[in-house]
Amino acid sequence: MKQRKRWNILWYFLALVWGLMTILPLMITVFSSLKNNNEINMGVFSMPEHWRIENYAKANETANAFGSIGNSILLALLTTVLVTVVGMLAAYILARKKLFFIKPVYLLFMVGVMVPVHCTIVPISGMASALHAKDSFWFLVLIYSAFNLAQAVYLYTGFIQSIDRELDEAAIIDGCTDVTLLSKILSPICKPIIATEAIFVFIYGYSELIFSLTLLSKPEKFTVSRAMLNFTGEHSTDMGPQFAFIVMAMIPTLFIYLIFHERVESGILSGAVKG
Amino acid sequence: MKLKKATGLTLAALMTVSLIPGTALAAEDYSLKDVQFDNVTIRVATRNGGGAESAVDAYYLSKVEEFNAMDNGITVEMINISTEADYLDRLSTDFASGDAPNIFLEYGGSRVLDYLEADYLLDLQPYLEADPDWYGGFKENGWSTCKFEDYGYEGIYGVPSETYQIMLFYNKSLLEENGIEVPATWDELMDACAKLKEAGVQPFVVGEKDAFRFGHLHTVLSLKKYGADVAQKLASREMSYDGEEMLSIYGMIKTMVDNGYLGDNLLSTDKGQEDTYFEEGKAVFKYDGSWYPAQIEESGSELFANQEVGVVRFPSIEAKYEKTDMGGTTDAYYISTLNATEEQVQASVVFLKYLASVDYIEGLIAVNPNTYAYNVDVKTDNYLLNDVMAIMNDTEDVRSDLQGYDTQSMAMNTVRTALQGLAMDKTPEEVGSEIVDSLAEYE
Amino acid sequence: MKGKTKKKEYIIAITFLAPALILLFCFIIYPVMDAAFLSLHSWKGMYGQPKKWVGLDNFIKALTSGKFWNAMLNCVWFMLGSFVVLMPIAFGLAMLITSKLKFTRIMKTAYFMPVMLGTTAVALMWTNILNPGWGALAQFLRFLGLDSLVTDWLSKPVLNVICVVLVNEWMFAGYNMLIFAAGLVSIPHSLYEAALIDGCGGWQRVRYITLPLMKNTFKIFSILAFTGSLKVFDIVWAMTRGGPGDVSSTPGIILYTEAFQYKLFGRSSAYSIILLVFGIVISLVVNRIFRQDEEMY
Repeated sequence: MKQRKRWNILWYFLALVWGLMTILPLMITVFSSLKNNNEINMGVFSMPEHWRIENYAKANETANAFGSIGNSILLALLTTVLVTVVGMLAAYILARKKLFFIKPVYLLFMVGVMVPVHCTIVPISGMASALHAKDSFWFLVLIYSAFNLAQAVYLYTGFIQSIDRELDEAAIIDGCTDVTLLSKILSPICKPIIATEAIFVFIYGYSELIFSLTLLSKPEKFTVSRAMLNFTGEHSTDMGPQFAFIVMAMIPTLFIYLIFHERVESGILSGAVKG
Repeated sequence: MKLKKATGLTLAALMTVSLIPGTALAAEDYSLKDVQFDNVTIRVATRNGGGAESAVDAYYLSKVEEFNAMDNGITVEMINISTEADYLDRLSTDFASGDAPNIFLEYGGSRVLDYLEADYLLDLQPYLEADPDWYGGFKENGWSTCKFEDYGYEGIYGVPSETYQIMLFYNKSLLEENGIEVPATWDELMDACAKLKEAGVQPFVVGEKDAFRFGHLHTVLSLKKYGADVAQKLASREMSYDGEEMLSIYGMIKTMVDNGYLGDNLLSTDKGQEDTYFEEGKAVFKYDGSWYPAQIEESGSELFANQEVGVVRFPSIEAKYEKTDMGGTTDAYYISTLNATEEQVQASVVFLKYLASVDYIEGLIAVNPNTYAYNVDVKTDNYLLNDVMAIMNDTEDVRSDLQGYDTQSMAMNTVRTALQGLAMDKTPEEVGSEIVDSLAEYE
Repeated sequence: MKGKTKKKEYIIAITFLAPALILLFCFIIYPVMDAAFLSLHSWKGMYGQPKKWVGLDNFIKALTSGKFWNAMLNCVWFMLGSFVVLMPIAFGLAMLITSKLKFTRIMKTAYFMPVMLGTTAVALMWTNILNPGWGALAQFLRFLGLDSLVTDWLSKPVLNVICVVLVNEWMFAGYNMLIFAAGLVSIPHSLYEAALIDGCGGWQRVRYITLPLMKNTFKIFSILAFTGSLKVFDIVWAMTRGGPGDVSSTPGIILYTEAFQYKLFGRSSAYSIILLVFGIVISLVVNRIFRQDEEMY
């Protein structure tokens, strides 16, 4: 018991050290959000001398903070829902069915995690002009979903594979169809991985730049990353307000992260995973 | 060449006139006076920011709004991306996918050569000539980014906006304290640096993490040593990037690096930090563009407020090239004909006449005094800008980045990347052969 | 009867897979096929201009370029970092936040902070920490009297790649922590309890229960780590822009500059295809390794 306590102290110590290292950028971001360029360049670690609260007002005006944050939340949430539903449907088949085309399809998804984003921009942009889908959110949601699907399908498939098959068989004997098996039995067990992937997808959709840059033109449709570019003038960047905007934009992700990760822990189930 | 282009354009104009009913334009009438359009939408890509915080951006937004409110049948849609790399990403993507903006901002030379070779740029010469008022509003020497005779294309393919020149800014009181005269020649500058270094004062801090810093230094030194012809000679490879002449330029930079004149950690300092060092009085000199006065005024620097910043023409190396400098037009507007209807092209010209006009620029100067390629009087209470303009008016010949005259569009990047080597213990010879090798890789 | 259920199986499989496959084909497979086509042509990125057939020229130029192999070498550093640094830390953090210790909510928020703030803030902070002049690390070393260790970390060849790799692992430790945590929470507690009764110590429990049950998670981590290293772009671009010179460049940066700055879309596509082939080969090997492992059990 005593030994265990000692271990705990060591764990706490390590946890604290890493925690300090990772909380540092938040500190610097908040400090920087209250400074001007010269003060930032002279030292990012020092406390701000004059608290330039007005940076936040500037940030709001330059980046249309509420509008762009709202747009990003909308895009990210829609993407998260779509990826979860579409990804789970596919993962269920890939993990549970033994058909001749399962392996090749799995390989196709592999291409999805590997493709460098820059080689897809021009063809996708061409598609968007042909479909008159520029400045449209639904098209962006589809793109974001496609780019997240591969990883989602991987994670879901891996997780479903680790769930005992006997569970399926019992459910089918009880009269479950594929739809109810997936929605009523497997999905709840998969809650930890669904919530985890949802966090990833949300953050991707929330902060994506290159497609929102090439496909959106109307300022009222701008996303967080796209609006962030407004802080750069012709010859210099207004860093203080930019950091103020980073702080403002971070708040929604923080909430989503905390809410979703609660789901991960509540997903603990006994006996479902094969031992 | 000229003949072929001209007839091609007239033919195209004739054809569309007969094809599109309701276009009230005769083939010869390029003046576009009082033309009415029937609901034409054009898209304009610039590097103005979308935010209303900056005076320039706010002015642009309000002027476009004003234009859209006019009853001329034209609606302007803006694509505003202020960061350079992102702007170029967007522009490249739009041209590659066929959905190009009707008007776009670029920096001329080899950077727009690809568009010109694909025949996607409108020759504005007939439109300019048909409207002497408009044509006359531009300074005669401002067309360098819009003409491509060296590449074999006659005509004027854009209209210029800002002009610039690279100069030497200095901290008056630091020079005085150390008993140093403002340097007029390179040798004087080197002496000054040596003295300052001895006194424990840092002469320059250069943010070479942004590779254009040595790029500019290389260009201005080459011009001061070999004259304006060096641009053509380098572009045609008559002068080689690993030849004696260039090696001696790299050597000059190298000497400054080795003596610590340019700062200790060049490669981990960026341009923003460079500015801060100067503005906080931690560096005596700084070579920068004529845009710097407006920038330092906006930064709220005390140095500027106390009128302690001075400016002088970049020190001369060869006396006969004393007044040859790095400068010219920075940006220009171009009209793209890719997938554009004749109506859109004409509407674009109409908007360009509005945007690139003395009226527009006069309003712009009121909110952001700077140097422009227009015949306008810039009256400003920015003392530094007044000094800068006096120097520019006295300049005889200018060339921009030497790689802008190259036929290889990657030359700029290649040279700048290789020049960073001078801050990494590479010898001039190594840098020279690196440039030549990488350029060969792209032939 | 049998044939009918088989047919039903097919119909269900196809309907369930269809939405995902449609998205995949439109936005991933089609662009990849476009890149494959372009990689055999020379094209300046001007819509409507002819794409000139050049055969394997783009591939030959790409594969014989010293710049490319230097970039690939940098990828190897990223891969090494993923397994030597990232994996143990992320796994350790996952154990920590899923343990019964207190304050786990604060911990996991802190650990995930770098990902939430994004590369702009992270890069700014680390370039400032690593600045040899006023940076925190340099000041710390000077304070310890270790002046000789202070150097321009982000400008020295190889050293700067290692620095960027370490910052990358630091940033994404929180991200991968979540992947491992998802695997950890689904291990039934009853197994640990049984082990406790059998008298297993902490380390033994990890070795004989946790690790074997997490095999799938490790496989997925491995594939994501390899492919992520091959196409790494953002963090390098934000911290060093691939410089100074091309020292810290990666294939992702090369294929980006070739296309969007040099307008050599053919050559850029060739790089994409090469990366894709590398990635698929590595993933197949990883799959094979994990499967062999399984057969041995």
